Amino acid sequence: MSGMSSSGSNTVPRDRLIVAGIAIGLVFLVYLIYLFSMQVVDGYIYSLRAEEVRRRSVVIAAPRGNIYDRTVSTPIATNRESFAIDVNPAEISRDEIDDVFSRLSELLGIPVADIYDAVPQRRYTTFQHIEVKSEVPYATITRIAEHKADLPGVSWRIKPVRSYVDGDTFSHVLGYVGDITPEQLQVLFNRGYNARSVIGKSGIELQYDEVLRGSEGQEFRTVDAQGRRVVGRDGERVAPVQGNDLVLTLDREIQTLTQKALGARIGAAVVLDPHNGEILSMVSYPSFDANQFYGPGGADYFTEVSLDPRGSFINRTIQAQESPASTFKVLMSAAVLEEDAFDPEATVFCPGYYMVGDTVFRCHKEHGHGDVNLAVALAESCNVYFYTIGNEHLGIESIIDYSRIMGLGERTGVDLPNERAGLIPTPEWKQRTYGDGWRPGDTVNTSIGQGFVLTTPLQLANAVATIINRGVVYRPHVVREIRDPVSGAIVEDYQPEVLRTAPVSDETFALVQEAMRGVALDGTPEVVLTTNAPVGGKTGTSQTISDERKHSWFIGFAPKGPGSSEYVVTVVWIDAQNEWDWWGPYATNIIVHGIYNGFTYEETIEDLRGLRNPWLWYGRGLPE
Amino acid sequence: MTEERSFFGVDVLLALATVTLMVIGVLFIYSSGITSDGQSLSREWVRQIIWVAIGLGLLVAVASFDYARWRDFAPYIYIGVLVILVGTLLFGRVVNGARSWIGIGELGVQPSEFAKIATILMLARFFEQRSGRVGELPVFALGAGIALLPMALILLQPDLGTALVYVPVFLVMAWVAGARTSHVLFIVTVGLLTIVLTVIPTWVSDFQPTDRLIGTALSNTRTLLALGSGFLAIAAIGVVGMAALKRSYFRWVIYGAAIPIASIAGSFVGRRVLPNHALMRLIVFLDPYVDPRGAGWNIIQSVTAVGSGGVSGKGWLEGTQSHLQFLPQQSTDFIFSILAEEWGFIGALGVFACFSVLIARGLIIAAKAKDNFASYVSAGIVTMIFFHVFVNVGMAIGVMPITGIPLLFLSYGGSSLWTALIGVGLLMSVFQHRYRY
Repeated sequence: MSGMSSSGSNTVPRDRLIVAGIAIGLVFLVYLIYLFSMQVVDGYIYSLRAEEVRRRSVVIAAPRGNIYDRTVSTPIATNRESFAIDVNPAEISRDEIDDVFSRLSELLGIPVADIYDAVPQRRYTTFQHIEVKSEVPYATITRIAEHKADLPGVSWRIKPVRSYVDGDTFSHVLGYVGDITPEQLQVLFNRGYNARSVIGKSGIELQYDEVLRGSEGQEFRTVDAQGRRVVGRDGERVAPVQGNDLVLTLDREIQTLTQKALGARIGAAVVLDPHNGEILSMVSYPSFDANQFYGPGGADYFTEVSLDPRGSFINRTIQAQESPASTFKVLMSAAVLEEDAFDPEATVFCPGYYMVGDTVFRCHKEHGHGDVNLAVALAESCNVYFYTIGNEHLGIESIIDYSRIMGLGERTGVDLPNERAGLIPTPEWKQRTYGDGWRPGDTVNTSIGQGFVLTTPLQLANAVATIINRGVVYRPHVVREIRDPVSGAIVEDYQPEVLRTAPVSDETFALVQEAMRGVALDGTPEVVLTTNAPVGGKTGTSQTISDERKHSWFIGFAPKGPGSSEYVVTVVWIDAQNEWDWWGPYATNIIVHGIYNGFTYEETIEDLRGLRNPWLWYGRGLPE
Repeated sequence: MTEERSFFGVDVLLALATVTLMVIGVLFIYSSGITSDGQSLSREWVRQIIWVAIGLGLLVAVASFDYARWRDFAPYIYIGVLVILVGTLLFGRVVNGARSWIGIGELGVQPSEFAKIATILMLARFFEQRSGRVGELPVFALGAGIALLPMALILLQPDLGTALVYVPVFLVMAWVAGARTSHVLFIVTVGLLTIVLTVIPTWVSDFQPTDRLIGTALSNTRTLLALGSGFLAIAAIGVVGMAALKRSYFRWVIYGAAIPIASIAGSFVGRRVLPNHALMRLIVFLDPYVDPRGAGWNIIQSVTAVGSGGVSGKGWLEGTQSHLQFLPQQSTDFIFSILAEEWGFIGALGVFACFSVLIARGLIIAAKAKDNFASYVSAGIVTMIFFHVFVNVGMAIGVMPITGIPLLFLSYGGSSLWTALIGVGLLMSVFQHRYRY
């Protein structure tokens, strides 16, 4: 009632109401101008930002390119479709997670602890697909699909797995693939790799990774604030591009022949086409089957291979460096002939040893070869002859020069990773390394490919190729062509690349080649080289600390077939760790016979048994 | 009757704007309930329709009631609301971190919403009884006390956003009732300065902004005390000067010095009283990217949604940021963001047009009201509606800190809607009874 007294008239100042109205109007105007600038002027910026936050891209793996041998028939490396199981922990409620994991472990047949390891607790709330198992068979996928309702957050996807069709036959050349390591990613991030990339780890897979890998596809998905995929709002899809195919210079038949000819001996064998540098086969033992890296128990197998004390991952054709031993005498012969340092017909008397000062250098024949000329010295592998030549007629500088001409002491440049350079010792090198001057004894040792000299099998093959090809040396290579995976069209054709031309006369090379042919006909390995192919070559037996165990080399060449003027070069090296069986020439005999006659390994063995001296095979443990 | 667009004595524009806003509200509450998969799972929109129906009933009841009776009931209503607010603090239900709900079972209301109307009525009555004396400081301060009581109880819940509404409501009502502009400005300046001084130490220490020299200085307690003492000295000089020389400009010296003194004192209190999350909200408003996944998320997502709406929007139910759940609290605090995303600038313009009509009509009603009580009530309601738009929309477009107050008529929720509708009902009642003497 008291209010009544002051009521009755409105004394509110109008101007204040008007000011209030204007103030409110101004605020609204400012807001509208602000909204206009946000929505109309800058709207596109916010649209982009909105797009950004709700679009997630999912990577679709690109199938790796296939790898073919030179016949381009069936691939030797291809992809097998396989499935991987992913778990998305954010899609599983907390109280269900244990049940889901135990059900999944049962279906996958793996311990539940593996799943807990793959999906640690700190990632339970992150929306991310975490792979718990790969290489899951189709039947398991079917069963998981049947139980989909009981398995929230569990999904599967196709994950191509590398398949090496010939098992361990091409392993060292092809290499293998694996998940990218953080260290690799740091280096390669700008080249289009990501944390889930599969990358070549060795061999061609590593060397040609960027050719083979193709480009990953992307699927843009719309996600909500929790990162959940929103069905029915999917954006565009960028299809993955399969990597290019590779055609190798290797020949599956020759590779298999070579592998079997080498057998279970630690060592290496390589067959090279001297006319263009194409490697026809390249075998190293022990080998590995990369297929087993990806299957169940793959990690265990990988560890086993990695820890093998014999070094299964080593591609011994380019990574083993050993003394070339007597094979070096071929190079010495070329030097003598070209330099006219010593008349090839003149003889040197071999008493079974050679004296430099007080030091005695022995010939392998205890009582000596008597008077030997170059051809005989090479055939009989007389050390004393080459000691004399090297130390008294050529000198170390000349030996070094000819080693360089033959491509020793430096990488051949083969298109495979981690090739080693070998070593041709020089007086400067010795001074630098040992702080000791060059001594005549060093020249003597070098003259028969001992001492400090180190070569890889492929280097020696290239040296022989230099002789066969009259001084023209091609870069040895394993890849012939890059092909488009869809059309089969050749994308890149690797033309033979001349590494260098040796400044040595054709005549010298012809004489050396003839002398090597003489070695096979009349020399130490004559009894072993039973093939009907007109093979030439040189043995090498390098001593190790133990006299019982020796490296066995054989470098050789033979025509590709009856009447062919084209040759293949073969180099076999058997490590001294093996039981001594002088396998270098034996393996060469099988390889050359097989190539010359177009036989498989089995046919070769069969055929060789029928040739002369069948008794030689008895007790040799020749593999069946 | 002829000069006003009215029909059966009803303010048609006011009614039209109100109904339009509520229809838009229901539309976007429906839209906010659409999940990522495009399914409508939330039943909020159905409930909102029920709230609208009940609210319209309340509106009609209030509108047809002679507002003059409210003047008599105002003290009882005011005291009753205060009691309920205390009860809420003791027995209320905690929703979103504030003990702000009271009720039985699922049914409940937020007394803090209705308390606004009660306070407006009480203030209107108080100022009307002291017409012509509101310019006096004791009257102004007493009026402030009327507003401060419910405000303090709400702050204790704690619901900073709702409590804040009382400040402009009181200031505008007092000013319209004849308070001195200097008194009003004093409170406005002190308030803003206090907030700034309260936030700065946490901002500087936790987020290390690039420009930190002034900030570091202002976070140092000693510096602040020194500053405060300096201003106190100036004020003392002013007091002495005025006593000795009787010059009126000394009054302004005291006035000017009192602002920083009060602000520094207020900031010391504020830092003790304000919970961490409130400080965080204020900081995040300054720079949402200091914590984009946490406290800054709401601002960033809301601004993104609004901005991506463009001129005409993505279309109703077609908003991506909202339906993919990037936008939080879409039906309540961020209803404007959904609207701006789906209807674009044009939709926002429409909403502003409706609110402009509402506020313009409210002010005209205030001007034409037959007595001061009615005029003050109208001004208070207009201020309340405006302040909600100002803060809520400002928050959605990223120019205001997140305080969590609803956009009246549009946001989901019964209490705030009914409060707004009761307010409109009061306006209509004033309008209807404007010629009756």
